[in-house]
Amino acid sequence: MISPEAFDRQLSSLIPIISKWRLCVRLDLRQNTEIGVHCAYVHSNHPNLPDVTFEISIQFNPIYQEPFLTFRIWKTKCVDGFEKRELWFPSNLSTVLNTTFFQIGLDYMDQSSGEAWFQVHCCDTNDITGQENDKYLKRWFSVYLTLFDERIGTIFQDLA
Amino acid sequence: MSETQLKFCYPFISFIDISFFQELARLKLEVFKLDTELRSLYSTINCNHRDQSSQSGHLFLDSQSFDAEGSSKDVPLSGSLLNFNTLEDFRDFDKTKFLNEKARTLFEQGLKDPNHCIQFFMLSFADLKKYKFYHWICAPSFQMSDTSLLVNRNEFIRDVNKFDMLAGHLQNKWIGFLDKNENYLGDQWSVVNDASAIMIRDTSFAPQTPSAFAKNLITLVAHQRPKLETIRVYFIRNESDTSYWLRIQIKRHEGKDAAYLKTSGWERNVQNKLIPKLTDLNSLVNPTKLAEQSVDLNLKLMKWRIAPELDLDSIKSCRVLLLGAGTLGCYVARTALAWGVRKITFVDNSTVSLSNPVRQSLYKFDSHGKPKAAEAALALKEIAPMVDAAGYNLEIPMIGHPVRNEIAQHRDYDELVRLIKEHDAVFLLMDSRETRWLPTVLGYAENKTVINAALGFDSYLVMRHGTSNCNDTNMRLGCYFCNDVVAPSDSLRDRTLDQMCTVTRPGVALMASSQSVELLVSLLQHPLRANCTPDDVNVLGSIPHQIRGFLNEFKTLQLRTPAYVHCSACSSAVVDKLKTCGWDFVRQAMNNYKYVEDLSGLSEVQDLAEKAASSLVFTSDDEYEDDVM
Repeated sequence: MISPEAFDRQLSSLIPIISKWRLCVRLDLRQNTEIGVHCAYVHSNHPNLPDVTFEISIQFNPIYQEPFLTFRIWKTKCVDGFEKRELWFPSNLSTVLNTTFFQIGLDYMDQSSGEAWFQVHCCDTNDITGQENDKYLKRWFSVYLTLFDERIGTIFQDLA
Repeated sequence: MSETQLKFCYPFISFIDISFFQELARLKLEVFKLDTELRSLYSTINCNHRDQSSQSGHLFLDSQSFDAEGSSKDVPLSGSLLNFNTLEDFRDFDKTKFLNEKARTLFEQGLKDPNHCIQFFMLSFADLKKYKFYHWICAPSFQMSDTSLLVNRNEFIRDVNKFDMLAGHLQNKWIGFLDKNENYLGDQWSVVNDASAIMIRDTSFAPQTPSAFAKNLITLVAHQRPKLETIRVYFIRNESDTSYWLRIQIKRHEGKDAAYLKTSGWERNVQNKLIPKLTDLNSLVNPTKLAEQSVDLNLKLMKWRIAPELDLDSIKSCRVLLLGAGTLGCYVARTALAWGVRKITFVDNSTVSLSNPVRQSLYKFDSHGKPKAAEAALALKEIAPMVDAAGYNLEIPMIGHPVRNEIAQHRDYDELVRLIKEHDAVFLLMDSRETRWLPTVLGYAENKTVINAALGFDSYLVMRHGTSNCNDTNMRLGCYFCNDVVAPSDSLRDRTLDQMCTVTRPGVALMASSQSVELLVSLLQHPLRANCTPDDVNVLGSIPHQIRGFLNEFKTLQLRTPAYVHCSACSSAVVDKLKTCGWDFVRQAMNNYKYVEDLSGLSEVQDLAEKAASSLVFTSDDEYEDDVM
């Protein structure tokens, strides 16, 4: 578990590192002061899936007191003279993502927009990430972003 | 080093967040409408980090890109959006001609200020019904047809610190001129003749390959200094150690033909193909949300040409209570739904009979035996899941119908009062006069908009009740009971089946229902709402007090009746008594309708009428005829 204050603090310090991720195309830090949530928002191109973009959102889950990862997948293909981008809901996520260690469901609905996202359930985050300390979020990133990139750990080597 | 042709890479990779399209959809509906003028866009190129596949920085567009106030530490870049009204217009648009025209414009702008020769343009078509967005971005770059740009020397910048300092002059600029000692001279043409070198902001990541924006700037420099043969150009990148300089030879070819601008600039996809893009957001939101947006879209289209001043929000936010979930209730609900009303509540105390579904559009054969109000609400939510629909199975206390179960009827009364308080407009859609009496009085007591619809065999009445806050009692509009000199009483006792049921031509209910809702919608468009007079008009036309329709002649009449001072429902004596005594007053009215006649003064009017009648001397028609004869 991680406190919201520690989450905010550690997230801020990790933003420059995540932005250097080889797959990261765009990263925004959005601050919602009303509910005290910071949200990192990353788009990436997967090297083995050139027609797929992952849109990732990371925010603080106040119930579990854990980082909360949601994502959706955009697929690009040429149709009728246009390069078409649309959401993709693959029936077997493991063909697209490294899902081995995670419980993932298409069951998160953004309350304000009504948009559907995949969520990585955070009920077992503590078991995966370990006890809180100053590097909790770094460890969390290095584990959970393997979902998209097995080599994510390399960007954190400087912090080891 | 041998001379090689200078190559350029595309100046950015566009990255369009879905919020950009969501904002475009909103602007198209509410601001642009059918206008196809160029609209300004404000963006940035992010050169701060690169992913493994990018050759240049990312041009980022999001919902803020329509707003000039947006700020960023990235490289600012202005653009323009040309949004088409149809997909055919988007497809058929002459994109080559457009690019040439815009390149020419940028060239001419650049002759005034070199920093103004760099811009991007976006073509788009927003299919708001299918929530698909067609788009294509171009960054016009140009070079004179009679000129070649050759590289005869290239090097990384060694004195990084010095160029970091010089790069400070490129804040919000694309070009800077340097003298022979590499001192900064300025960024305008006034210093170009003194310049020995230029520095250009470079958005490319490719090794020693500048972005195509540099082509525009070098072309302009060559144009301003026609004798210039070589020039040193420093390409300044965000990461100092990747900045470099090139010695560029400007080789002009003599020819018979006049030189012209060679242009390029449409963005290619990752396969390097020139192809427009389509972002399909149809599956982005859940179908409920999409349905809501589609319903709103149909209504908002009214504002494009036909009724720009139409206030849809006042309709959407209006909470509607339907008393009666029969034929009228079903059709009123459907019409209200079509107008975008989001909160609809039904009140009825009966169940669906086998004969109902053919006339009452919210019921099916399977609805037989189920409570009407709840069933109607359920059906409405099946039609439009975003609607906040509810059904209450309660009996409206009726004047002249003695109390049978006081606890239950008192509870129903309290529930009715609560519901009327919680809604903005109340529709009286019941099948007897006496059922309408209490909601009429409550409507005045709570100062609500009350719309009344009643059916005959081939005629109908639609009316809006006056309001209690009209100061001029002579101007106050009447209610359903204002023409009566007796209070309503039990009209159902000792009636045959055809007298008790609503026997009407089937089309009459649709006509009355639709006009009831249209009357409410017209009222909502007037700033005085229910207080407006029948003489007022608004964006939708007139706002009558009463509409009487006669299907046998296919004719409608607009009528106006003033409020009657002794009315059994809307007179101040009755309304005030309800306000002070509540259920006790209602109980007495139920047990004895004469109580209301006494209270309102109708009994006195009746007495006076009888006295007047008895004082008259009648002669028979025969006598009269005889007299005439």
